[in-house]
Amino acid sequence: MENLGYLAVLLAFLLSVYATVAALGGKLRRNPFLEVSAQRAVLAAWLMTTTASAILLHAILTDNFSFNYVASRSNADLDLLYKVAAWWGGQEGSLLFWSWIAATYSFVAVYTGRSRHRNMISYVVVTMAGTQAFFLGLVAFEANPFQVIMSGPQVTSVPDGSGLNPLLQHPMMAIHPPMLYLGYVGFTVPFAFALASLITRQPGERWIHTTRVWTMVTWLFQSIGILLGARWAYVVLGWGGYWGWDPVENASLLPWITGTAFLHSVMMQEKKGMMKVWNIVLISATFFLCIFGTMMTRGGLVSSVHAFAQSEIGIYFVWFLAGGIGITAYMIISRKEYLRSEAELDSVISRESGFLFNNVVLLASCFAVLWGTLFPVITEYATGDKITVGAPFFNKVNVPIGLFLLFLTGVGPLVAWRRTSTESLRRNFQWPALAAAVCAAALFAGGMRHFYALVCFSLCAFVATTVLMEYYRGGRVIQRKQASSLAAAVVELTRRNTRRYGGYLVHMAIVLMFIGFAGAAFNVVHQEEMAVGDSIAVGPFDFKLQNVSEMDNPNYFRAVAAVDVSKNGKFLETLMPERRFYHASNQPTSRVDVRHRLLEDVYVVYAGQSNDGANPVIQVYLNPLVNWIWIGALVLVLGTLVALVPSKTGRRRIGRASAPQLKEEPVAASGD
Amino acid sequence: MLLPAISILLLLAGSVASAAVPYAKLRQVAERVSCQCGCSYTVGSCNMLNCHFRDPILQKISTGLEEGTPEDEVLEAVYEEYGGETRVEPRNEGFGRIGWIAPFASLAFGLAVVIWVMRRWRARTTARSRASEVPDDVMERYRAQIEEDLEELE
Repeated sequence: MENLGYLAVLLAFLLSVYATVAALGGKLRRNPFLEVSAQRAVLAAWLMTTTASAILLHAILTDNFSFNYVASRSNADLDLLYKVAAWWGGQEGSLLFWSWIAATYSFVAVYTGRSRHRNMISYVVVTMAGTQAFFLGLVAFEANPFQVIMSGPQVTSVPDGSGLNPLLQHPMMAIHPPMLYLGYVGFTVPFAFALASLITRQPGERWIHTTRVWTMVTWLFQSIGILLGARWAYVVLGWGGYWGWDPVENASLLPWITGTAFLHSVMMQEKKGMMKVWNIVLISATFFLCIFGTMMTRGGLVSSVHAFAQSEIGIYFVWFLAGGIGITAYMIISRKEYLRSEAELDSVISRESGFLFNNVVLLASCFAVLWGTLFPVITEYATGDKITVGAPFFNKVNVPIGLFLLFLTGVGPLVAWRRTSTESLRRNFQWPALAAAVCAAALFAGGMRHFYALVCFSLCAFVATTVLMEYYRGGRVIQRKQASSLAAAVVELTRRNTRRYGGYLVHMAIVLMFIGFAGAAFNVVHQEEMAVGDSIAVGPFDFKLQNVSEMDNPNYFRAVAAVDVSKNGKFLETLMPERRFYHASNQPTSRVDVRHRLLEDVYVVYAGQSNDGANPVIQVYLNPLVNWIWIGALVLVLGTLVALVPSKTGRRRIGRASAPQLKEEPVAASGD
Repeated sequence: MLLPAISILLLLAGSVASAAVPYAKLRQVAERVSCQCGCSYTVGSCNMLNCHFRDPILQKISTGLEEGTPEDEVLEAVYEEYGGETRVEPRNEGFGRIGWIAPFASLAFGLAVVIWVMRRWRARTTARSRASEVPDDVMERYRAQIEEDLEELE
């Protein structure tokens, strides 16, 4: 089996290399047979990668401990779900998983886009298959998951594996990495289309539409991945927080930020033919930041709790990045004329300038995160003394930038395209500004003195009012015309322009998340060694340790504390935090128990045992408003899905526009 | 395979804050020291079992605070003993100052570039509209019409 698996990886690698070369050769030599052959090689590479993945997964599920990877990442008593998660739980398996997703994306992108983008699909194949070949090369020659345990010339096996990292044994860990990978790898598709359109000097806007849709899909996956990671950190790691500014967390945030900037600025290109160079730079930056993030996780560039798979492969990523950035830069410079803007700014007070400011602030935020993440490396290089920067630095730097961005989120919809008159500006701003002022005054009068929290809540009121006004005003117009209810009118409004109103839903999601972030300013934490029957008071809550029970199963031993929670003398519920000890890996972990409410979470951790081992140490966190982050996450997913649905009006417009555009494509071929 | 429960519980034993210094205070100070055990958190947040790095530092901070040493001095002593890597934020001097300034400088630079680009674009548009022979009031009427149409389209 191991030979078959490795053979499949080797073949997939060779097929990807062939697809890259054949697609490029076919395009340059105008040989359609080579181009079609390259597309079929993409399909064959996907089949080979799928075969290799299926063999590894089979080995994991059947406890084949002669595979080195299986023995080090799984064990016989592991739950089925976590056995599947072991596929991406280590370096070799996760690189194969990455390659499989890349191969699947290539296959889907090529076979759905080959007739629609006939004259540029070969260049799409070059980028996608080239990237895929890079990762498959790593699997084949540097991180082979099919290595077996040898005893002399004989293949041998161990009785049981050392198990999956206990922290990864959580249902969310079965979804979080695949979602992130779908995001990371998925950004290859819009980048490939953008680069191909640049090379072939595509006319029209159809390729922008394709690029934007793919970006939105992958942005959605990336968002879900990041938020699931935050949720996992919150419920598993037991430190009461959800974002630690860990280098690998930051690595996932960087392409998300540039992807967000692209989704905004691409509108300027679609509507006015502006910002073409900038958009190409943004989508390229997003792709390269994905590769850079992978390098950080695996190349040992920075130390991180997530860097589960450090090795010597970092140098290959450096070469890949250098080559990719060089080629892209050359393409942008050599196609400068093609990227010339078709329109210019009419007024400083316009939506166009709003997008420009939004992009700058997003990029500044991206730079701040990148700067902080690389600061230890930079200081070590510059001064010889390594300075790590942690959450306090990132919070101090990013909170003001984030608030500025939140403000711009509200301002954007209030200004019109091209120019806005002072009167219209005053009319549009009055209600949101009033909402913000009332919110600030009420909170201040209620005793809130935390500056950033006050600003954040006020801006949330400002942006939320803006979004609601947009729905209300548009809904009222339809309501009057159709004599329907306001709710029905709002639904109709959204269906007519899903992209715009889906986007507003995403803005609302951001508001909800910022409410949750601001709540962190009022977190309370208390830790105490408690004997059975002891009580502690934290805020308005009382916590009483009722009992501690112990259980054992083949996978882990656990001690569970039953903690009664009451408020003002009234019993609320019993929380059951646990401390686990995993037999296979000899590692302990905490399992928190949380009472989730909209106003605050009561978060209880079995933090450890007193030094004499007699009593548990119980840690209590009161986390106000944190659930709004998860609610915001759901709204964000909903909003993005709405934006992905074609609009009623959009469908009509595309239908009208498609005929002349189809005629344009063959002409573009001469520009190759 | 199965260890006796009591030995596991002892194995699970974690450090407990000194009773003389309130836990909240100790944690607040320890939040300013980066843990180097591999957890990537601060000493205040590290929940690694019997962490070899966290426990002595917590003890040092606790002792320092008990003796009445100012918080910053206690922390400087920790940084001195355990190295610059334990800082969670750069010092506001020397190269560390660049660490603080760079993100905001990048934002300022970006905003300056945007303003410069907008002014350039605006100047070109103004020059073009001056050259046009369409009277201002007619132009305004067209603009208003376009704005209305765009609103409709959106």
